Amino acid sequence: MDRVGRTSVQQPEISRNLVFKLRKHAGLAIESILLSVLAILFVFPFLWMVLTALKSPEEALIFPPTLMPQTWNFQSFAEVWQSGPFGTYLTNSVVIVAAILAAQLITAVPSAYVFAKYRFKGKEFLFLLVLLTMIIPSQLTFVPLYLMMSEWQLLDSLVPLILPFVVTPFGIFLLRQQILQIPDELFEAAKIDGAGEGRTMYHVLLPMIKPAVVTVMLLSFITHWNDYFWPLVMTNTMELRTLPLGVANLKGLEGNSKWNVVMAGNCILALPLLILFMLNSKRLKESIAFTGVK
Amino acid sequence: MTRFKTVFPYVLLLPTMVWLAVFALYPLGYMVYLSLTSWDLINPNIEFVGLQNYMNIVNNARFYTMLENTFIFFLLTVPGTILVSTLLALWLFKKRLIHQLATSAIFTPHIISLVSVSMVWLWLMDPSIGLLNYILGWLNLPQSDWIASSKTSMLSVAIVSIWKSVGFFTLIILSGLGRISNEIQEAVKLDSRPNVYTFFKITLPLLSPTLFFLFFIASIASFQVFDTIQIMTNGGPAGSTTTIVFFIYDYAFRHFQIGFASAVSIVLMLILALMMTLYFRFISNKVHYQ
Repeated sequence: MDRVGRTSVQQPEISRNLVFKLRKHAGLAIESILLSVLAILFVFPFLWMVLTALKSPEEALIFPPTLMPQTWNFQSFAEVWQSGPFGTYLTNSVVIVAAILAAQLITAVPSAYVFAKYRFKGKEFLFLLVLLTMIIPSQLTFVPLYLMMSEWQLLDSLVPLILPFVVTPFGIFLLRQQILQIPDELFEAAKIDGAGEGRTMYHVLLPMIKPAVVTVMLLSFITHWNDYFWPLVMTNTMELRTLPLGVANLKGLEGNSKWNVVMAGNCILALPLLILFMLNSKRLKESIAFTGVK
Repeated sequence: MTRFKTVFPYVLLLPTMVWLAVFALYPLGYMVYLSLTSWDLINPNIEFVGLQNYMNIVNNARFYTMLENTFIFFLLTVPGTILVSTLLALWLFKKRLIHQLATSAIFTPHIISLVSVSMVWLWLMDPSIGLLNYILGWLNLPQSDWIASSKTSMLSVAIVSIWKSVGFFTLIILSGLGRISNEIQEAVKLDSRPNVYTFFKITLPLLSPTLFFLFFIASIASFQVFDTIQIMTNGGPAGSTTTIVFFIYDYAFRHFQIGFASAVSIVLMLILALMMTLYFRFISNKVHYQ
C-alpha cells in the first residue's frame, strides 16, 4: 500500500521533470541552430572567398556554383603574385603600419600622461583640440593634405602614408581615461625613490596601462593595414602602393572573369588579421568592449 | 628645477601639438582658402574667385543628388546598425560557449578589409551569377538586381555596411550590458513583469549612454563611406550611390576642380558640425547616466 502510494505520487513528478528537461534541451537545440545560422551569415562570405581561391579558373565560373573545390588548386595564389609587384605592396604595407604604430605609441603615451596627471596653463583648450580632431574625418581634408605633401615634394615616398597618422587623438583620449584612474601617489612614490620622469613613465606607467595600449595598437593595426582610401589618394605609382590597393586592382586587371585570382588576393590581404584574430580573439573582443567605456 | 617643472608638460606635448597644428588645423584653413580659388592642380597660377565655387554648389544638380544619397545612406545605416546590434546583443548576452562563438563570428567582418568585404559582396550580389540570387531562386523567392539597379543599389551598399559593422557595435553594447550592475540585473530577474516592460523601463535607460556614443560614431562613419562605393558601384548606376567622400574625390582627382571640391568639403563640414551640435543639444540630455 505504502509502495503503491509512493509511486503514484512520484510518477507525475518524474514525468513533469522529464518534460521540463526535454523542453529545456529542445529550447537549447533550437537556439543552437539559430545561433549557427547567425554565425554562418557572417562567416560564410569569407569561407566562400577562401574556397573560391582554391578552385580552378574553370570551376570558379561554374553556375550554379560548387561549394567545395573539386580539385584543390593553389595556382591562383601564384597568379596573384605574378600579376603585379605584390612583394613591394606587402613590404610597403608592413613598413607603413609598423611606422605608424611605433610613432603613435611614442606620441600617445606621454600626451595622455600629461593630460591626465599634470596641471598647466591651456590644458583644457589643448585637450579640446585633441577631441575636435577626433571628430574631423581625414576623408574630408584629404585635398589640402595631398597638396601639402605635393608642395613638400613627398609624393614619391611613403611619407604621405605615414605622417598624417603619427598621432592618434582617439588613442590619447582612451589612454588618458585609463591613466586618470591610477592614483597620483604611485607616481610620487616613484619620484621619491629617485626615478626621473622618463623612468617613471617606462617602469611605472607603461605596465599599468598595458591593456589600453594593446587596445589602441590593435585597433590601429586593423585600421591601417586595411586602409584603402588614403593610399589611393596619396600614391600614383605601383612602387608606393599597399596591399589593399594591389588587391583592389586585381579586379580591374583581370576583369570579372577570374574570380579565383581576385579571391586569392583577398585571402592574402585578410590572412594576417585572421591569424591575429584566431590567436587573440578574446583579447581583441575585450579591446573593442573597452572602447565603449567612457 | 621649478622652471623645468612648468615647462615639462609642454615639452612632452610638443610633438602632438605640432602634429595637430600642421595636419589637422592648417589643412582646414588651407581648405577654406582653396574653396575661394579656381585651380586644376596643373596650372601654376591659382586664381582667386571669391564665393564663385559656393554659387556653383547651389546650381549643381549632382550636389543635391549626392546630399540626398548621403542622407538616405545615413538613415539606412545608423538606425539599422544600432537596432540590429542591440537585438543581437540582447540575444548573445549569455555566458554559454556557443553564444561566445556566435559573437566571434559576427565580429569577423570588422577585422577584414572593406576591400575584401566589398569584393566578396560584389560577387555575391551579381544579378546573374551571384550566389544571393541563386539562393533566392532556389527558395522560389523573387530575385533582385542588387547593385545593378539604381532602385536597389543604395540599399545593397547599406546592407553591406550594416553587415560589416554590426559585430563591432554588438560587442560594445554587450560590454554596456555587462556594466549594468548586478543588483539591478537581479532585481530585473525577480520582477515578474514581462521582459519587454523591463527592457524599456530599466535596461534601455541604463544602456542609453552606450547607445548615444554608438549613434555618434555611426553617424560620423556614415559620412565617411567610400571604399564600398568605389569598389562595388563606382557611384552608380546613374549616380544613385554617389555620396560625400566619393563626390569630393571625383571632383578633386577626376575632374581636377580643386576649388569646387574644397568648397563642397567645407559645406559638408558645416553640416556635420551642425548635426553634432544638435545631437548634444537634444539627445544627450535624454541620456541617463548611472
